[in-house]
Amino acid sequence: MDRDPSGLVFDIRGFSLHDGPGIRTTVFFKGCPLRCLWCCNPESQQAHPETVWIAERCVGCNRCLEVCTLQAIRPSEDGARLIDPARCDGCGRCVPACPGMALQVFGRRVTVAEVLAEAARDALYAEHSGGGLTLSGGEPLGQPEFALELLRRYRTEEKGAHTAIETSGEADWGILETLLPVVDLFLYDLKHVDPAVHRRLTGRGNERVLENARRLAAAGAELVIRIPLVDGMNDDAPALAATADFVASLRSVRRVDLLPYHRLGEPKYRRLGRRYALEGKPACPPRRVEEVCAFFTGRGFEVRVGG
Amino acid sequence: MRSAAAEGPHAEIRPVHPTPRVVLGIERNRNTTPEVHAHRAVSVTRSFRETEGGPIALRRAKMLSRVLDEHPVVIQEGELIVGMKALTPRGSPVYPEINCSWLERDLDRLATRKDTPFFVSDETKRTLRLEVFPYWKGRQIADRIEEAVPAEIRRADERGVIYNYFRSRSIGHIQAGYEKVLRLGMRGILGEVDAALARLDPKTPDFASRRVFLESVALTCEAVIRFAARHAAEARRLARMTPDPRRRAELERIAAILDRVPEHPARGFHEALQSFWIAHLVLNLETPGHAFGPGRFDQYLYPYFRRSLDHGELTVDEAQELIDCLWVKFDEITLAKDSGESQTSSSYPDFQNLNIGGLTRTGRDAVNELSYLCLNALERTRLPQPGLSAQIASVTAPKFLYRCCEVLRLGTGMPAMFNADVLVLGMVNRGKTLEDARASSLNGCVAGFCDGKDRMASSGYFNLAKALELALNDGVDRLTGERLGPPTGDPRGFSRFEDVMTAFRRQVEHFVALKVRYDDLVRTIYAEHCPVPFTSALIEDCIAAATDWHAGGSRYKIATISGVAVGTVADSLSAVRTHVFERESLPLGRLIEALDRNWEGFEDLRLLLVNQTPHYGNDDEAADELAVAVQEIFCSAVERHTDCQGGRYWVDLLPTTSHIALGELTGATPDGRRAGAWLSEGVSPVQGHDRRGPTAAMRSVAKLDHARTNGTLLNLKISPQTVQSDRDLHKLAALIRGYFSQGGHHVQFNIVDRAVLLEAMEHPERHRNLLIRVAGYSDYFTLLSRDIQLEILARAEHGL
Repeated sequence: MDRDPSGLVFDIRGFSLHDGPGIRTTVFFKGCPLRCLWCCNPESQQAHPETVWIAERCVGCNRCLEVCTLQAIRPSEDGARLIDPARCDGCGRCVPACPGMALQVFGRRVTVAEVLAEAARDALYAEHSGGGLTLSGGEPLGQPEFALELLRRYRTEEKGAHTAIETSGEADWGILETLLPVVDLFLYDLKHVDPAVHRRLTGRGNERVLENARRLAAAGAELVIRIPLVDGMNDDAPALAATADFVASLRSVRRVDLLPYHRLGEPKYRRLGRRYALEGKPACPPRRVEEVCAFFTGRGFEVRVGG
Repeated sequence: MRSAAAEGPHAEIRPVHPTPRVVLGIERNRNTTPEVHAHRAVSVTRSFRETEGGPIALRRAKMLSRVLDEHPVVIQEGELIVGMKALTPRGSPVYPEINCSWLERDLDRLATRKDTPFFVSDETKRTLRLEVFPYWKGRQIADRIEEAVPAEIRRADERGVIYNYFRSRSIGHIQAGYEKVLRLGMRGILGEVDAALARLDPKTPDFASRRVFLESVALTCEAVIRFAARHAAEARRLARMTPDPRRRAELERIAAILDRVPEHPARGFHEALQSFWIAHLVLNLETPGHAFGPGRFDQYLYPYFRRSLDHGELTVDEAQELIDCLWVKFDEITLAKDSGESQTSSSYPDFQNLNIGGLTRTGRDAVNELSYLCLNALERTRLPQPGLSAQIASVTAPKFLYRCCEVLRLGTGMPAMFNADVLVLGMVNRGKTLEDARASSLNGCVAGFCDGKDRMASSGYFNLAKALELALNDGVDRLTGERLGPPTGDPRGFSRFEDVMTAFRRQVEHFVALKVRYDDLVRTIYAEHCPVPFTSALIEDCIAAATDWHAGGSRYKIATISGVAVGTVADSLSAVRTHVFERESLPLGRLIEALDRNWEGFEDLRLLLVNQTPHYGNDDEAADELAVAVQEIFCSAVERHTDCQGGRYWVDLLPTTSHIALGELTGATPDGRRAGAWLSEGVSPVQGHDRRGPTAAMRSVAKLDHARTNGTLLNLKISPQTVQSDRDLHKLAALIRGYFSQGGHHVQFNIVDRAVLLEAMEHPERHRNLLIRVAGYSDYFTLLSRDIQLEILARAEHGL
């Protein structure tokens, strides 16, 4: 195995406060098997680098056209810059050339050593707060060797620091099993318990998701169930009841995080040249959040909004 | 003094609403229009007319005595701690002996000016114009400075390279030994004076002047005793008049307390607070100095608090109310400043920095019950004064830090958080003994002081961005075309980045030397013409050495210069290095042209420099090493100097609000800043240039050598959502600990929604109580000038 494997990530963020305990460094893996309708990070979905152009920031100087040797950027008649995904290899040369920061490349290959160096920057803050490293995404399980080596080496270097993984659970059990010894906390998404509805909302069924959750619980993993609360899509009474029943059946799970729907991802779809399925849908009303919160609390769970 | 940290449970008052009398005081302060009063100026002028020809120390002592003897005594409804600086809360006396030209000039505009307006009644105007102003022409300190300052220095000041704030206010930064007042009383201090007089050798050549000085000290102490007695009499008069038996008992008790203190040592907590307050008032009436700091308040008051509690004279609730009452008194204190000054230190609050926590003289955790009661007082009163500073050492109990974070979450910007370990390190480096270093506190904004033994004459600001402007323009002011600095070469001829740094270093060295000359001139004038006998009485070793504080009588002496715009200069240098010398994509001539034209026609270039340059504040070594280099250049230019009283020069990195005023005098800078725009403040990154979150910003800032400065100031804005739960507070605490363990000196937070600030600009009437951290102090947001409001909005907001 490669001694310093690399992976494709779209962000590494220090001072993460809501992806596990304490102050954390969160690594956002690029590539996801699901296509959730409400996804607020569409740039996380494709498992290859994507270049985007942000209209509001463009000053129309054409420097990007000059530096792009692959001719992947061309101007449209109305002054926009069109990026041809077939030609663009995500080299990123156009990014520093742009005065307005109108070009951005989502996705860069980083080695385990590079990520660890980044995480080490916040190590003191992690130590004082009981924080650590979180793998998020996208879907970290989509790059299992990279994820495993990253967590393993992090554990070795930052002795005792906390590790977490945020996952959809949509992966082979074998992958989760190998990660068990190096993950302190699984932040495990549960979108809907009904397979057919799950397929409609996310593009895939949930058989593996549910099965993996059961196995993780059985294996004694520390598990927090995270539910995107998308009003009108997964918050009807039967769905909530079924979700609560399922989480209760996992026995070891005490905590449920509710992630209320918000629309902050909407502009990113436009920039990526994609259509947003929930265009115009307002954020989940605070009252609804309170109600659902009360429901899960009533079922005996510790509920946190936003994690 | 007992260290309470390890002893039993802390007084845990869960903050509730303050008592009605405290609410009344808060409302009274808020609803009283700040006003200028003439009574002090009249007393001072009459006294000086009568004492002409006498030795100056004696004249100044008689002046203060007369001020105190004629000071109108006002005891307000419900007060438990009494004594006012002026006739009305937030009223300002006039200090014509220092500078009244500005007031004469601005008198009719004072009520309508942009920053910190003051009402002036027609009668006050008439009195000042008839009785006060005419006498002081040529006599006030400001005129003496004006005469002495050479044209070269004046020009550097007017063009915004250097700024000396002793022109309109006296030297100040007074961290008096309040502990001594409580312990000895005026009688005890008079005993010290007698002992010093007895020791004076008549054969020494300056015997006469030393004796006069000591006699002057004695005169002021006697006047303070009479001042307290007049308050006692007024309290008795009111007691006789009030129909309310409870209030009558309170007033009688106040009178009894004032019979005792500050003449004699304080015995209990109430006496100690009242004694402290009289001393604090008198210091404020002696000079209009910058920053009268209460210092390590929770330490020197603790024994009295403990004694009162142990003797059953006082409950914790009563102690809390007394502290709340004192907070209202602190909040009454203000000073009308000239318009230049009120731009560089734009505030009604007057830098009364009250410290809690920190270390004992033996290095243990100094937190005690009073530390918590002070936090409660802030939470209960939400007043901008006193400025509350919490010293956090590595031994500080987590519980205290959490409580500080809890209070921080209220969004008042206080307490400001200080690293006691770095403070001690720096103080020892600046010549204090280890014990004295641990007993030190923060004064003004963020400057380190040894309580009751120090003179830290922070003399004003040094505009590092202007020095860079001159380095990139051969010593010529880009805004006026006037030569200010030495010719350091046409930048178009610079072939290496080092050439830029060399030119910058030479400009810095030139103006630092100029600033030191400036300071010495001013210092000498204050020493000769403005002795401060009462201040000297409260600062070691002035009495023992029979030397006035303004003449260098204190045990410790340092001088500091405040560097402004480290961030702006670091980012500017980074832009030059990256684009001109590394990428070679920008000829220096073109950049100079763009700066000359203030980016007119160069917007693409400006954006490129703003957006595609490594910036200080993102833990990016390329930019951070330049900030470190800027500090190194500034420190080594400053540290080679010693002032005329033997005080070594040190650097601090705090701007108050001068980064706005000095920015107005600074041309376009290579970081993309337009001419006249704000400079970066303190050691904070350029507003909005820190884009990788607070930990990255803190890591960058911590790369500076904070222990080598006498204070640095870092502002962070955090969105309230980030700190909602107790778990989040734990993270905020860890953020502070993390920064401090990396060597940071100070950090303060504004935890207020951007939307709320915008709302408050739109509808100030709805947000009159919105407190916000400005520089080293908090103030009501709606009272700030629009420039400063915008600047606060522009500071990057961190959160998720």
